[in-house]
Amino acid sequence: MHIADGILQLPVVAAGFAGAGAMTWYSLRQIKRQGDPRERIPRAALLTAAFFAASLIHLPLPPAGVHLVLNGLLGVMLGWFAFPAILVGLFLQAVMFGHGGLTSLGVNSLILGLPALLAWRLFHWRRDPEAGPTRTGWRGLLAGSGALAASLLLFMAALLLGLPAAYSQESALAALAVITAAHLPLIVLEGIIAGLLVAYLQRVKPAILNGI
Amino acid sequence: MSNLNPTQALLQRWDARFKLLGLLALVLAIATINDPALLPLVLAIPLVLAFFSGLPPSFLLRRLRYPSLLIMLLLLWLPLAVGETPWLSWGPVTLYQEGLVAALLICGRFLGIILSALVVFNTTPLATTLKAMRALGLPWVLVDMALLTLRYLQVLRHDLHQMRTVMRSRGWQNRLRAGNLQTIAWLTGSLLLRSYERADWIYRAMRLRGYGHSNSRSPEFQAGALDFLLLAFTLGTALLLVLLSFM
Repeated sequence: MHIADGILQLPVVAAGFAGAGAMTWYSLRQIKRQGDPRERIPRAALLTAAFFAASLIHLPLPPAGVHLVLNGLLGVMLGWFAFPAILVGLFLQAVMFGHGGLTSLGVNSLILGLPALLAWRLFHWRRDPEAGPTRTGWRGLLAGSGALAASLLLFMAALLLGLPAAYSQESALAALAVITAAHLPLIVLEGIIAGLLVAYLQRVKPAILNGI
Repeated sequence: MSNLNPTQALLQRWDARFKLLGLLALVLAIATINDPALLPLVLAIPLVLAFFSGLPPSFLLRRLRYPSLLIMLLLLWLPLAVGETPWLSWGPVTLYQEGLVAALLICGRFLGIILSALVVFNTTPLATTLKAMRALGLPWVLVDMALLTLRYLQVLRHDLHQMRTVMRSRGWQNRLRAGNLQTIAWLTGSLLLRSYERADWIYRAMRLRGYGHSNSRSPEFQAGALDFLLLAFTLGTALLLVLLSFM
């Protein structure tokens, strides 16, 4: 769910950087309000690296297989650190592996980062930290698939806005419908894995789900 | 950096801060291109950069082997679905001129940007690039996070590789089954737990080494006349591209 370089028009690229810059500034402000961030930075960075590594896990979903995105879970565990973590992760992916893009870095950060923050809020809304693994797992499932579904919507919106108006909107919508249909199994799969993972963490180390 | 020639090529010697500013101007200028006549110029830019980079061409070609899936889809879809002027008809399949031009533009911009970025980011160690970003005013929280993520990414990938090898040696097969999804979730959970616990002692070790006691900026960057000259040349090229694309 990365938009590569060369696809988006300059106004969308600029709006993406402006939006990502504003979100990063706001997230850093909230992080600093919670006290000196130095102690939390290693934890945020290591979890970012762990998510980065986990996204390399290949799931054999026909016809080709998929990779996990895990932005919802990243939001649940990192809170306000999620947006900077996604920005850093996407930058490193673009530079080290050529995935995603540099000019689309702002747009891609918004596509994955905003739903991560949404998942964080959704997961912790009226949550009982003492709840059992099953109940917590359902919250994880909702956060995981909800975040990915929201990312897909943002991805399609960015593509519709980013392609020149001269392109036929009907054929663009038809192509996007195919992309959506192709992503639906991933949304379900990601939700199930996020749910199972959250249930596991609730059983083994519940503190990890309370934020860093 | 193992891909670099032993002789210090021009781009390798260029101040990392100036190199980043030049790259930013170039990729934004390439993103403005909407005229296919400018594509040769767009592709010439990374080729010139590659010439002065000291990077072997085989390395750059290897990195281009896996283009974006979305780019591939657009390249196939646009000539078939976008436009009104038929360019080539073959049975029920018609390729449209407008779609073909759009596909060429996307492909050209993609190659121009990705090749320029590949050259720039592979002629400076990534840690130095991140320090240059801090010198240019990027918030220290982002830079510290990026440096630590970069440092531990290899360690965690190694951990993941080891854990998967152990799983395979116990007979696990990567197939889409309910039981396997639970195993994948627990594998990911174990990786996150390890990282979470490792972070605490890493922080203590960093504090012992003075982390957080000083905010002074690194004095390692010193620009010379050549650095300014290269930046001026790059900014001039970017400006020329923008002017030509609006003419």
